[in-house]
Amino acid sequence: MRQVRIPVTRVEGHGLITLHLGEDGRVREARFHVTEVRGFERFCVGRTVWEMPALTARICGICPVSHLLCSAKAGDAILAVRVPRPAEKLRRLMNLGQIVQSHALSFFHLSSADLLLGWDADPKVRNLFGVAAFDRKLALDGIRLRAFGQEVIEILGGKRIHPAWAVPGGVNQPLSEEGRDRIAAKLPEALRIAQDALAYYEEHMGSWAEEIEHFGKFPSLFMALVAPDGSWEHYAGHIRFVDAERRVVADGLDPARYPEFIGEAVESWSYLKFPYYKPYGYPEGMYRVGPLARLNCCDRFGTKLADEALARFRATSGGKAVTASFHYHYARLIEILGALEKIQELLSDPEILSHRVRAEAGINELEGVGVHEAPRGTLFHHYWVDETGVIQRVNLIVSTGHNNLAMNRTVAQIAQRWISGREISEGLLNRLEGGIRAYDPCLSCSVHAVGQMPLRVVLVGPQGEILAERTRGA
Amino acid sequence: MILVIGLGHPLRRDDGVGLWIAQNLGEHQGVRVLGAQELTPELIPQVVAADLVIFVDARAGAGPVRWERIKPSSTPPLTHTLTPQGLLSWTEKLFGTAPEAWLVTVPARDFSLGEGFSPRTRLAAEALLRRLRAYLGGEE
Repeated sequence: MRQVRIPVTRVEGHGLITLHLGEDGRVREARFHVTEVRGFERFCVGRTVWEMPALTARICGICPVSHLLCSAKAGDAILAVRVPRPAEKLRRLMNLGQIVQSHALSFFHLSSADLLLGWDADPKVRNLFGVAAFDRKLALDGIRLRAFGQEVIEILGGKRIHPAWAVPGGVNQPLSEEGRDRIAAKLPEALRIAQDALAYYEEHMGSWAEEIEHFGKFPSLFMALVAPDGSWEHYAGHIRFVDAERRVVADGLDPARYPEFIGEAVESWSYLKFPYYKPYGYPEGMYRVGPLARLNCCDRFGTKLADEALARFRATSGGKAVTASFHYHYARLIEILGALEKIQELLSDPEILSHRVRAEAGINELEGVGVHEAPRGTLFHHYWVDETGVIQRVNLIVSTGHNNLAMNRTVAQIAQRWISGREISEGLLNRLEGGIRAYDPCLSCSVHAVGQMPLRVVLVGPQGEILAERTRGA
Repeated sequence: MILVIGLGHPLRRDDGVGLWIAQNLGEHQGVRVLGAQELTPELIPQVVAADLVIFVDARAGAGPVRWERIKPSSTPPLTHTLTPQGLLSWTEKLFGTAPEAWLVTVPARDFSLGEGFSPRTRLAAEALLRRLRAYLGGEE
């Protein structure tokens, strides 16, 4: 098998998959090529650390809050301040709202069509309209649940997309009593929707058995933040790695010292790096992050309904780690439920209305790392500044990058199961798309265009010759 | 209930005219005003609850402020290209009905990075604001 030069478009958000066949005609390797280049790590150099939350929030229109909060945390480290408790609670509240809205988008808007209508359904109906025709309540529930998460963000930050609210040292605006009550009033409906969706998934899991078995089911490590008591965490805490047996491989790792345990490999065929767990080397150190990893890593969720669901989730794998990437969907639904419960807890805390929300300080450290859990997984912002706070260097490790090795492995597994001769069938295309979508990767628009991810699949023979090619939605 | 949705990007000069209208319209009985950078499916429950929806947006080119009666589009749109017609289409498909809707477009020529309108857009926006206030206040 030889390397093949793949023509790629630099149009942001287009996915390209190459399937490499061996002499026996079987898939030997599959590559998911990521072709977007954004350049944030370069053009942020020369700006001040105070500008970074607002600047880096522009990385994404779906999860700007994740970058906003992570950047503010890196700023906290450079200011060497501990943010006031109410500010931390408000940041947590916003991140929970972000988890709800992003997971709702992923499950209801993007993935429910696959689950409801099947993998062989016509792409023209595999979208939210198709879902609405099949199950109007589910479609409306999805819209309402996402609206709830976005409203939490809007009430706190002043707008739904790109709120410039979190700043180094805290946040720039407290929560009003009226805002708290508006969120609280909509919580019961959001909780009802989350429970209904979870019940739907659990009832129908049996009908997706084939996909669960082949959409990225393999042993790997999992990485996530966990709280000091081992419970589910999304904002602070320490890093934990577990293996496929759910044995703790490493625990209590300081997230700020990530270069000691995370390596980043580079492949010539993708702009996205390949992070790996350093002690295991590359590529053996493959790990997964995100909802599946967070549920595999934590000892418990820490809220009643989510813990009950977590017990059922773990029962599907006999208490070991759930290694089927298809169940990212399952994990996402459990996290929505738990996030809503945690929002309920925060709203009942009187301190949430405190006006002590910002610590003022100058530059006290020349380097700072911010880490937290974005909906898609662990996010790292690492800044170096000069004495005046001007950025000298930036390193960002985004959630999608952590899952790069696993996504490639998933694509290979799906191709091995569903490829038939030299034909790239509609069913294979749908499943490749679905396998990638399970991770909810943030490749900008590529997996966020409903039912029509612009996707190109190329089948490459043992001598590097192109045997077949199929493009959709470009 | 009348729903006014002002659309635009606040840092693309004339493009932000719809947002500016939404921010300056003031409160009127029976009127809900929203500003948005883009249309998203989350607006559907608010659209279906309205008797009349007025979308205000910038229009590249010259000429007067245009009022155009719009109806749901026939082709279901994708989320990243949601137009006012598309939003009405979603509303109709999900709820079986969509309210009467008008698209009001303001001539615009400067879409560069920055704040503030070009002179012609500024004049058109101020005139539209006066007319909308009069209409929503029951004077027209």
